[in-house]
Amino acid sequence: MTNPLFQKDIISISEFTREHIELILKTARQLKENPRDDLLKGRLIGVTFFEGSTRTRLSFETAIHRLGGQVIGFADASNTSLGKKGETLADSIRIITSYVDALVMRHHMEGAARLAADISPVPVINAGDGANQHPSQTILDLFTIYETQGRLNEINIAFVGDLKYGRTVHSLAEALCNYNARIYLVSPESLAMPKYILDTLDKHHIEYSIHQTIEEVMPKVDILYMTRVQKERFDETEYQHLRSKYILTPQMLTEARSNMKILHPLPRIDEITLDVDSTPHAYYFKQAANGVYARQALLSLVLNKEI
Amino acid sequence: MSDTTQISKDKLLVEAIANGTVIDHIAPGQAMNILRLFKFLGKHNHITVGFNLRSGELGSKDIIKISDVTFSPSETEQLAILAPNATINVISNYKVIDKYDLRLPNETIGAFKCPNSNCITHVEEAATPRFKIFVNSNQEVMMRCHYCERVFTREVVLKNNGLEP
Repeated sequence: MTNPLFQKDIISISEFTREHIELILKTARQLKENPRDDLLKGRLIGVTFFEGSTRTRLSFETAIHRLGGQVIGFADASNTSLGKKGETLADSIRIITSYVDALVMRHHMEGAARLAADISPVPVINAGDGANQHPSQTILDLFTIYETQGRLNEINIAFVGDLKYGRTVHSLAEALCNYNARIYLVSPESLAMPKYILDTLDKHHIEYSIHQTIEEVMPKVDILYMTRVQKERFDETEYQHLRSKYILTPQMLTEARSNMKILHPLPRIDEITLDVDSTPHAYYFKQAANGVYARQALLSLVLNKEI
Repeated sequence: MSDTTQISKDKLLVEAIANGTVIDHIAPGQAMNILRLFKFLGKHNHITVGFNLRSGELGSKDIIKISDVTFSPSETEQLAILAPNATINVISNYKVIDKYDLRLPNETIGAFKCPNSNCITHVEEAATPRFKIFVNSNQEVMMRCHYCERVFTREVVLKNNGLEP
């Protein structure tokens, strides 16, 4: 039977059904346990990063090489003649997608991936379009939650830090609406979760609460999802005041459940101190490594009728 | 000869048009937006506009009579976003030959710019602004950009397009 993601574009997590998500996670798990080097054999994938993002690009390229595929592309559009010669993005996409079997694309403008998908004759995988969507990040987050907790249903999760601008927390919170999560939101008031996400949680009857400190939610959660409170969003005095509240230290973990894992989309700057890395709760580097399996699963399903 | 023929106690009577469209039961304040959106003021069609007229259903309403104009299906959809409860009367040879109520469309293409300044529709001609339209649990009309996926209230989209919400 043809898998439902065969030849489909992967643009937005909101388009996935629960069945799609479970198929992707199952495939990622299988590929992690039993690596395959044949699923992209003879396939050429365009990896086009109009905006630089080293970790995401290397993760996609690793996934493609591990599956036996080949890559063409660029790491940063400023090193190409695209744009400089005045070509539209639409024309660039038409040309690149005439060479390849699938296109992985990152762009700084929101909606660029949807435009590419509307034009392209081959499947497009969104590797981030501005502040909008980054579906492979959400898949790797869900995969990591499943891996650490043995389930996705009824997870207690705290989102910490910049919940206003953090694309990853928006998408993950929306995805968890399918799984009856209990959500704790910990952020400065000025970086609170946007209302449209809270509306989505309400619509799905997801229980959530708003908190000011990490300590008050620590004993209650299975997953602590950290993000960075960016200095440039505050004046210096305000930042120094807030900073200490949203920096995770080993002392704050004393009340944590034994199964509690800390996730972070990375890069980590100073919001998790280095001595947290050696605690049994730290899982962010393994989470980043899982990105390869999540992306392998997406590419395999999009380019193979059956696996 | 003037358009307005007479004013009685409770009715504003305006001259009938030979051919064209009467848009009735427009929510008060939206008639000017309709004139702006369709750029009717720069054209030479004969137009009669009534603001804040008494209306049984709405309390008050706006009305537009415009000669020699009919609305295509896509224009009707744009009109419905501004005036979701309006009635269209198509006039031919002084007679109403078609009459229908507007209904909020599911989608609108090309009529409104996306309020998100970082949306691809602002730089790529191939990305024609396109919104899915729905009503939220607070009964507000919401518009979701096909490209950047941002959701806006109808009022934000109108304001961003130089129209008064």
